[in-house]
Amino acid sequence: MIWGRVGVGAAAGRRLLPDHLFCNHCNLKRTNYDLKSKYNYTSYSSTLPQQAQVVISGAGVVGNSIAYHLTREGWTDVVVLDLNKVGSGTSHNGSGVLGLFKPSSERQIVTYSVNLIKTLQVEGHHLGFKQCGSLNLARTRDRAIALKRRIAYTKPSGLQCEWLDRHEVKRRHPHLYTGDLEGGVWVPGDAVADPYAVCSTLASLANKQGAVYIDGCQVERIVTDEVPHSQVVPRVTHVITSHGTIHCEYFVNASGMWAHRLGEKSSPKVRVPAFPAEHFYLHTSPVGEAVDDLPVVRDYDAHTFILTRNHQFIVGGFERSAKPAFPNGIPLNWRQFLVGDDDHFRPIREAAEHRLPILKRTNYQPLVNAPDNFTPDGKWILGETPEIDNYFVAVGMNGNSLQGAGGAGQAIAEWIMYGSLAKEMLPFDVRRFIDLHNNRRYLKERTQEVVGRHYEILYPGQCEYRLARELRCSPLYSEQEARGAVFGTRMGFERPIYFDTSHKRTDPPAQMPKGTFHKPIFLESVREEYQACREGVGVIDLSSFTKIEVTSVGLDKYKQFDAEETKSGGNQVVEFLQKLCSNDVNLPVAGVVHSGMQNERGGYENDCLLIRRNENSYLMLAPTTQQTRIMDWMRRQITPEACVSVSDVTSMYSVVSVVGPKSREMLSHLCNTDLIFYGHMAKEINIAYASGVLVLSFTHMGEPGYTMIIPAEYTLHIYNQLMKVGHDYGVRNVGMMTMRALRVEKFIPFWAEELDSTTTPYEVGRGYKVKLNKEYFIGKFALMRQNSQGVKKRLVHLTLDDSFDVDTDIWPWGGEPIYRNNRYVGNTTSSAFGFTLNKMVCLGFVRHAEGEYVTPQYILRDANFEIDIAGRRVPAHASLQPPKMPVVRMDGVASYRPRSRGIITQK
Amino acid sequence: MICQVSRILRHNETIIPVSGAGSRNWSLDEVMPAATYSIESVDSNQLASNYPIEDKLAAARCLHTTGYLFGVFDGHGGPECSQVVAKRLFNYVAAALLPRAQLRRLVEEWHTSCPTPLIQVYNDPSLFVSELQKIYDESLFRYCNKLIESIAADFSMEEVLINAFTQLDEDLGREVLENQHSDVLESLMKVALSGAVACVAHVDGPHLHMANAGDCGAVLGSQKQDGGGGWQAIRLTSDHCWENHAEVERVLSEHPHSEADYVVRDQRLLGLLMPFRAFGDFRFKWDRQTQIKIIQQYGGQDVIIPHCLTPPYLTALPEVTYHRLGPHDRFLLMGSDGLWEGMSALDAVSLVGEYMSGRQTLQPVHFPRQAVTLREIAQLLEQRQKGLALKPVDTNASTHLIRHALGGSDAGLDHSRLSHSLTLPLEVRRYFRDDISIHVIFFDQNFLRVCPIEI
Repeated sequence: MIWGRVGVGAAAGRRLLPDHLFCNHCNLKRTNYDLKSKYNYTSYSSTLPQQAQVVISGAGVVGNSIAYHLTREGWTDVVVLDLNKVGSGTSHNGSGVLGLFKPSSERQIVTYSVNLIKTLQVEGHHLGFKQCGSLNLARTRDRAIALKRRIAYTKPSGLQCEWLDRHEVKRRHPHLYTGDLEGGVWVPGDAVADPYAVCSTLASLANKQGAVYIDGCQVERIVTDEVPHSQVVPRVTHVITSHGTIHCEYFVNASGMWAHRLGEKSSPKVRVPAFPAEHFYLHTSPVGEAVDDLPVVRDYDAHTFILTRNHQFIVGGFERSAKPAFPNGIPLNWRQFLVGDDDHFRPIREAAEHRLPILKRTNYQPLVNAPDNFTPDGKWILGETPEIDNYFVAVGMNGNSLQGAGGAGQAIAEWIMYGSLAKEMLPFDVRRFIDLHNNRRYLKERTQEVVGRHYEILYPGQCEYRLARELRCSPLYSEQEARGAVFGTRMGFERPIYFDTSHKRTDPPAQMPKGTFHKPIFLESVREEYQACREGVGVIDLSSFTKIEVTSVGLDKYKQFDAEETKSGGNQVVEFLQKLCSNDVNLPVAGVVHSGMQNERGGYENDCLLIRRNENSYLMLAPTTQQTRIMDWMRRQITPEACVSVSDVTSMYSVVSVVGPKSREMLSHLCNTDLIFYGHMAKEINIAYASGVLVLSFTHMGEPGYTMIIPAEYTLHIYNQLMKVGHDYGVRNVGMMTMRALRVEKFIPFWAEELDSTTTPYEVGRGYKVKLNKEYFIGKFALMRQNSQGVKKRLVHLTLDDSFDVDTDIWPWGGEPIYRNNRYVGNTTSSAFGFTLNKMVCLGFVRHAEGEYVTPQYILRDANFEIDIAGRRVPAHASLQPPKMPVVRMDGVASYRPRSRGIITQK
Repeated sequence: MICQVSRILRHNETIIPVSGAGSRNWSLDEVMPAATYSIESVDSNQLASNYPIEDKLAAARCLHTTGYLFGVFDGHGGPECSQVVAKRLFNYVAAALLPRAQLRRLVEEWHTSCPTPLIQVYNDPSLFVSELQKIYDESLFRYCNKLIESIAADFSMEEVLINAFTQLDEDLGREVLENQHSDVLESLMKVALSGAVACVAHVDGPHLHMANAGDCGAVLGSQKQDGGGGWQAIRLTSDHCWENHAEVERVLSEHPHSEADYVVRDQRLLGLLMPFRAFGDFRFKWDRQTQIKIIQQYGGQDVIIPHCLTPPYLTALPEVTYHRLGPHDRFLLMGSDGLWEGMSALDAVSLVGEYMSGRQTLQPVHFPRQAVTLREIAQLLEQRQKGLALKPVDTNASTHLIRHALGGSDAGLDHSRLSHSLTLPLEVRRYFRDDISIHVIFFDQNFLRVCPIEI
């Protein structure tokens, strides 16, 4: 049981509406958009029921899809509310393109959508669905590499896609100008459908299956139950609307543009970080050339796409600098405020005319302005909110609601029905955000950039956002900037990626050079940082890490308690964490342990470091992106009786790691404490003139060194002192890129790259951190089963063959397919150049080609591994162990021996 | 007058050419990590009090392994022991440092062609007479074979140094016993009956190992890190004499309680010997029968020490210490007790420190960068002038130290005191000052700052 879901589905009666209540609606007012009048879409207004199992707000294509999937599975007690009418929002404005040529997680969802719409059309619904394919064009060599990489990792999924040279492109679409192209990708599976028809069809199907639709109903408030104390997550109880109150078990916010506002109508408020941007479509008059089976054309380098429908060409784009819509809130009569901005659209129109010269001869209809919601990272927002139990969100369709709607609807329905998802939804999880993301000013700024990014070349690891930056900064930010740091953001936190060695203090801030798929230009800087960590000493700022304090409440250290009470306080927090963690976390005070937190399926919900500060409290260090997600996970495990509190103390502490064999000697100049740590213990010591610094002899990249958890205000002081003393040790600032190089080479899996909720410890070689002999913990049974049966996938360390030339070849960047004896077995997750091994290293999951258990023999015996990098298969050597690398100890004493120089004879 | 004083002081001064010219004559296939050598330069000097001088300085480079060896040997009861130990000890150390397989190859070569030397010796052209040399080669050869045959345990620098010391000392005695009818018996006897304390440093990159037996001393000159530029003296050895409580305890514990009154008397071992550890001095080591057999026929009844009941009383076992050189460690001072009688460790370090800052300013003016302001030039010159005022008369740090050890007073260098001390008649000189021998090994600060930990 994940968090106490009660099956009410059976109890709830079907709520089928009598046919006479269905009415035809043909008079939708739409400014300069009057295509859909030929569809008779159904709308159902009735009195608001008193209760329903699921209430969905927003009868757009997403809301309808959720209702459709729920009712199809027998959860028929569903009510869909809409402010206006079915499909009256923005969802039918989209281009209607279903693009499958996407990263794998998105592709899964779109594939589902395509199949759903296809099936419905076959069943006789008129959805305007045609699988016309798409041409994805490359004007530049880098674009060609980007597309070929995508072909490489799309192919194993079975999706057909092939690289065409410019002549073949011309054959597929005779009207195109192809003289300036490198080529393009032909994706025959891509389709176009009529978003409006899909929207209304899903609604009417959902309705037939039992969902109730209420028109013109404004949601005024989502009300939650009383919680025993602030640590328990409240649950949805009822929704107050303009039509009255409806009690419900689940609430789904699928209100599109209005979802952000709706998020504020509950207590606590719910984060829905999405912001509408103006989005334009240009329709030509019907022309003979615009035959229906012409493929969709995506001219990425011009941020433009062209499709045909109803003998019209439709031109749209994801412009580089977009216009946020309704910056002051969405007015009721919002359609009247939408005007086509011809000046703004001109570059896209001109690019389209360049690509499709016949457009110059046709007449255009007035430009359509069809705003849609965009999210700060351009990905959908799906899932249960961390703030309120049973409150789901499905918004942020980023300009094309149709392609996501089917799959997202299915996912949310499954999530509601089964409490969890079998597939990995980490990239879309609503819990990836923190409050700053929900700030409207932030969203407005970021939206300008997010739109265009859909068509930009996203160089791996080198594609940071330009706008809305310098938001969360470490106390060392200015100093790091002066020392040549090039920053990247994670959860809005600025983290140095690397330090530019050529940068001087008086120079303007260092900038990341233009991205590349080959060897990064700044690799030499990374190499120097790497060597400092391996041979000397490096300082790395990890302040962005999530820090959470877990305490038994009711214990005040200044208050007197009798021994019994204190003991039970300690027990409660230990009990709580023992239930969450798969490692044994019952430590002595000051003990440190690295543990995973598992879900019922044994998958990782968190990968963290726990330090026992007191009898009754622990400090947890967790990955940066986990800030909201893990707080939510932990809070949901708190029972009303448990006197345990979790609080986010991320901002209170900075984390600085001193890494490398010289770190002890260097650090010993700054403190009087013995820095030799026995076992895994933390020490709270004074460093330089600061006090209360928690020091662990642990680093996240497997090198000897120390991690210091510093009260934020001392950070700069300690950093300056480290740099001063460190001068004599050749200390270097180290960035995230180096951390990656170190940990990938040493086969250390990291959160969100290797570890996620579908991956278990045994699959990544972390089985030794699971204590199956301790009392119950979440996921124990799944792990026990796996431990006895074996794993279906296994993380593998792959070093590329010498035929791979680091200087000239395209690098693997993660996501590349892995082939074993010529059969596809999995994908890489992360990669880096291993400076010690002097080879390119990839980590990746290998499954059995026949779906059987993966044994070590399967990986190591008679297995020839290859990695497909942008179409080229590179042989790789697989290993299940970290490579043997010289271990540099902190004290050169015991290991010292003069080196032999060979016998030297006098000449 | 000043010239004359300086001439006497500088008579023995040498600069040891480490990691430079000396190595160029050697074949190219050697691993030559010149950059890993932490030594910048070595200044050495000696001032005799005894005639002939009983101290001996030695410096050598291990030819087949990385690292340099430096030694200060202070003899007593004659110069023989210190001379011989100084010339032989480093071979013993170098042999033990070699991996077994290489040592075997080397030993095999000794049979066939002209033997490959183990070390390259600096500034010591003297040779043993050939008969002695033969005996000594034989002993070294035996030691090498013993090493080859011994079970290769984990390598430990401490063990290497201890074995070399004790083996050589054992050999000194054995050679006498085994060559009773040799022409060089008298020489061998003189070596065995005189004594020598030894202090040896092995320097390889940032690794400094010290082996000390007796009352020579080594001090590390380290710059204080409080930014004031002051100096800190880190003692790396402890003297083995009556002032060392642990040492007295050790000696007493090795002999029956009944002897307690005699073992350490008048601050000396058996009332005779100042250092509690030394090479040679076999009157303190051989058992009574051997003594009667060997010593009596050589030197007569009275040579046997009356209270020598349960020998050995004396050992050459060294105390080994390790120090990893850091960027603040600027030089190593090794001196015989003649130096330490004259000044404290901190005084010596400060003197060399001052000497260093003076030496730095002797180089031509060097502008730090291209665009330099007049004010900065003025500051630079002013600093330089200040340095020049400190400029020592000597260009050799050891000479500088000796000058101050002899002529130092509260009011600075007292020239008359210095010249008086130097011109004492030979017969009484010994009562005013001992032989003084000094190595000053300067470290390369830049190297130590960047040197990787595994070197």
